[in-house]
Amino acid sequence: MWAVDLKRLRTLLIKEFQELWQQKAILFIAAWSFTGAIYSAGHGMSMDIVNYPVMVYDLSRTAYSRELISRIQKPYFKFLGYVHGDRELEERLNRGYASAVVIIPPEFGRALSSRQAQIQVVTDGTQTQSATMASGYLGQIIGRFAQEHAQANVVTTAILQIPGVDSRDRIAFNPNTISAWFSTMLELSNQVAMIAMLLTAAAMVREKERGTLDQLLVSPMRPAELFVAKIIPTMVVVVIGCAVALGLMVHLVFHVPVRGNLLLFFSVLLVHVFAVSSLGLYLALLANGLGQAMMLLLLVLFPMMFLSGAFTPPESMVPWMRYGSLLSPLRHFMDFSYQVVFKGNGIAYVWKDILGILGVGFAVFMFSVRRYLRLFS
Amino acid sequence: MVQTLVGPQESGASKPSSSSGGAARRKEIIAIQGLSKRYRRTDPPAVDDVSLSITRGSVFGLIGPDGAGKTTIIQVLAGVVRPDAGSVMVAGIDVVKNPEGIKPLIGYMPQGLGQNLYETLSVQENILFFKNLRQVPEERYRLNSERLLKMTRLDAFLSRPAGKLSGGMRQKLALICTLLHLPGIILLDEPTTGVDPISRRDFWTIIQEMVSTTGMTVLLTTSYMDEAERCQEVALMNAGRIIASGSPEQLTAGLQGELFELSGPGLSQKLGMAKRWPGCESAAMFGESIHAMLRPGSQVDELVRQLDGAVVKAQRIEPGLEDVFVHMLAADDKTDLTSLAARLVVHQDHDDAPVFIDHLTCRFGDFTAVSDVSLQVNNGEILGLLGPNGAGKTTLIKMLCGLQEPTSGKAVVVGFDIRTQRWALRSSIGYMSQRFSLYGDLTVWQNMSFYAGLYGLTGETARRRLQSLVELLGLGPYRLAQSASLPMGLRQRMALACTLVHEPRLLFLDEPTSGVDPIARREFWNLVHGLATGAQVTVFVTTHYMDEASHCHRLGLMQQGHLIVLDEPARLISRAQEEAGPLLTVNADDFARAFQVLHAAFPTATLYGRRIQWQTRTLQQDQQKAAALLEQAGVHGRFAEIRLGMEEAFVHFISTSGL
Repeated sequence: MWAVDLKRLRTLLIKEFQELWQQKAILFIAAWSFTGAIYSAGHGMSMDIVNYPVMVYDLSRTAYSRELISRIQKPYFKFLGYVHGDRELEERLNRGYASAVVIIPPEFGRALSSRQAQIQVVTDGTQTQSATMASGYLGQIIGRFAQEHAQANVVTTAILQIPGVDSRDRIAFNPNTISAWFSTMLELSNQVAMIAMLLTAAAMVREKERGTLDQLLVSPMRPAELFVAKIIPTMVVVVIGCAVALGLMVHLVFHVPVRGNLLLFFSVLLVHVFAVSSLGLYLALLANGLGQAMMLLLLVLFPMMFLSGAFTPPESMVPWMRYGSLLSPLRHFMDFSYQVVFKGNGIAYVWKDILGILGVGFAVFMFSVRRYLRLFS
Repeated sequence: MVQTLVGPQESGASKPSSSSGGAARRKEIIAIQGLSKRYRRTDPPAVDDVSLSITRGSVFGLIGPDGAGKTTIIQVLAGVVRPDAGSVMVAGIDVVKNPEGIKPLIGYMPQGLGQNLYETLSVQENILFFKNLRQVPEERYRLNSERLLKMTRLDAFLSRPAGKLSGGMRQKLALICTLLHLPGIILLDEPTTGVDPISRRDFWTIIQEMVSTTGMTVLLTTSYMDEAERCQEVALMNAGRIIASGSPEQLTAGLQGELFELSGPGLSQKLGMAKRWPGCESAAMFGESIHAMLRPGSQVDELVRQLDGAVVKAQRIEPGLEDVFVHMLAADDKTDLTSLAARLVVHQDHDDAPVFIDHLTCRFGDFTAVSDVSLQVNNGEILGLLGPNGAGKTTLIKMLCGLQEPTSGKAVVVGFDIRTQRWALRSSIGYMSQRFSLYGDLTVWQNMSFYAGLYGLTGETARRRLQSLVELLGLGPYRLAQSASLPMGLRQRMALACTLVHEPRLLFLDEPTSGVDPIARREFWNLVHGLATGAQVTVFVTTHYMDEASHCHRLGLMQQGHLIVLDEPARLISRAQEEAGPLLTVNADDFARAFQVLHAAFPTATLYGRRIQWQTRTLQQDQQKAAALLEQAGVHGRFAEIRLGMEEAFVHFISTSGL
């Protein structure tokens, strides 16, 4: 069953590459996935808030309030002006013109020097993530304003040291917490999974749709030869794509330091792609055409992505999902690639992930092969 | 004699109907003038300046190979495709300007078996859906559906889901749904492709019945000539143009020259000689005989003398529409493909039978796909397996190629057991699948090199082998052409070349000429004859087209997994004729009236084009009775006795087999 005639394998491979070369649409998708998609993920999938539109309902109109307002500025916030009255405030938020409104009450100036001053911040909660971050940042700005103001007051009246804690944060591996570092690598491993399945599935579905599969099946070709011939071109494309994505997009455009051992990275990548491609082959055998294969592909790809731990860390998943996520080949690969690329970790640290990739990969491979061999009866 | 072969350039300019005035125009229900349609700017036009006139109450056939433009015309008439140029009037409505306006008047059945049906709905639910969709009044619905269901014998399957019906039943149900609202015009796109002969006969009964009782107009497309001869009017199409039109009788009568069937042992070696004789317009192999079209004025005796004694019998036969097609395209290739084919592979010299099948059965659950089939094929024989979709042909072939394990029985193919030696077996057989499935994106040479490598031929040996195949088959100029861009005929030749690369002893051909134009089809069969008789390659053909059957040395008829009969095509027809009687045909000018009268007296009578025919064992009595009836009705009829066709023979064997 697993006999391979190398001459025949070569013939099959030549044909696969010739066909792939003619599939301009597929090649374009692959090229985009490893360049444009990574680029747009780095810029678009940013978790930072930039130019967050803010308005102010200033009822106090004092020097203090103006001082505070002047601190709400770029790059995080964009000050769009004042609202006059509750109705306008509501209207602005409803229309989405402003995403947050800071309300400064009339007694703000007086209260600041005597007792506890109050400020209200209304944030548009529909964009949950940015609302949380914006109100956090605004809180920080207001807090610092209050602290400095209090210090200034105290310094003028009596020379006294106010007790406080000064926390100095250092973030390892991504000191400026540039989210593009994270999102480009996240996107890269998603694209690897997608392209690996897509290319293989498309190649197999084409064979089925055109009836050439029957012709191959009645030839002396062995099952393993076709299987390997369908997967090798995918592996080649993905490796080239990854090299371009890592070198050009991740490193040159987003300045992510690639610290790890690239030989290790690409070797494990090959194993991962082999397993995921065989899953693509399996989907192609189930489907009745390219359209159906793509639907199945999405059906498999999304859970694989959501379980990968990229969007929700596995630690915050419900228990059954946390264990379920171990079945997603993406989880192991993503973990592995972060460790190798950002931390520069070697085998001593990532052996668990490699074991996961091998284990899940082997299971996926055996699952697909069983269905595949039914073709040959 | 009226010359009725009208070329596209003349048809637009002077039409007989325009001079005869109002009466003719009233009868005209579909009028197409200068219709053109191009799908992509770089492609040649799908339909190129076509003009057509169809009279109310007729059955009109658009005949031609795949890609001739038939489907585009149907789609334009149905209002689903917008033409680039030309005017299209259907029942006085301008289809180009008002495509929605004609939809209530027409019924349209797209290509494929029961494409308009809903798989999961039952027969009854499908019919009800179309009733509500078309808002058919209750009274009319009841009358129609009862009658149609009875005619199609679908009334026993009302609760079965459409997806579980056989191909023939699906197609009949699709027809019922199309006819439910009694449209004035129905458009049928390749309606009987893949349908078993009995369903096909039911299908035509309904159509003829509807035409004669309601005056409905039928426009259908087909790529097969036997189907075309059932139409009253036909237009032969090729490459987007109409090359001839008229009634089948007019078209064949318009052929100048005579068609002869020459038979004798080893005649296939003489095909080239016959072709080169100047008095011969075209010649082709049919089974073991040559059909030669002689030019006017040339004598058949002279041709027989030319072939020095090889001809045992020469008889004049009636030409069919295919001969008209070949004549109109005037492109009979003078190269002798038959003797050339013998040089494509080395002469196969074996003593054992290439295929030996002994009580082979294959079951899937409780469904028996192939039931107890036994047969033996001899070296250099062309054996055909004829049967509708789902008759078990594919499963049988799969078992013979070692792709499907049989449930019981045994088979030895080219000396290898199909259970235990399947890999060795696959190296010595060639297989050409339906639609010549090759890699369309690759060039001809790339495709051929691929198949060479697949069978272990590489390097210089492969190159030399491919070179000789390319040269012999005339593929040289297309070596670097993308194979998808080639016309069907060339693609078919390339597919054959690919299956011959490793010089197989046995060739499986699955519907080898479906969708190919008649000339390419003849050339292909000439090649196959050369391979079989010249090089002793054994050829195993499966098809559901009766037309392909006449090319085989022996023919097996399959139905529901059973091989119901196996013999030479001519002997099958003779046997059926002995057992069930010949066909009595009546030609009458007012064929519609004649059909009404005769159908009442002879329920099995069918309208076949413009003639009425039925099978009978009491020929003399039937003729006397029919003549009296026609005289009473004031219709003049001419009687003739004709031989059965393969389809009638098939229907006979099925009905007597007890399946």
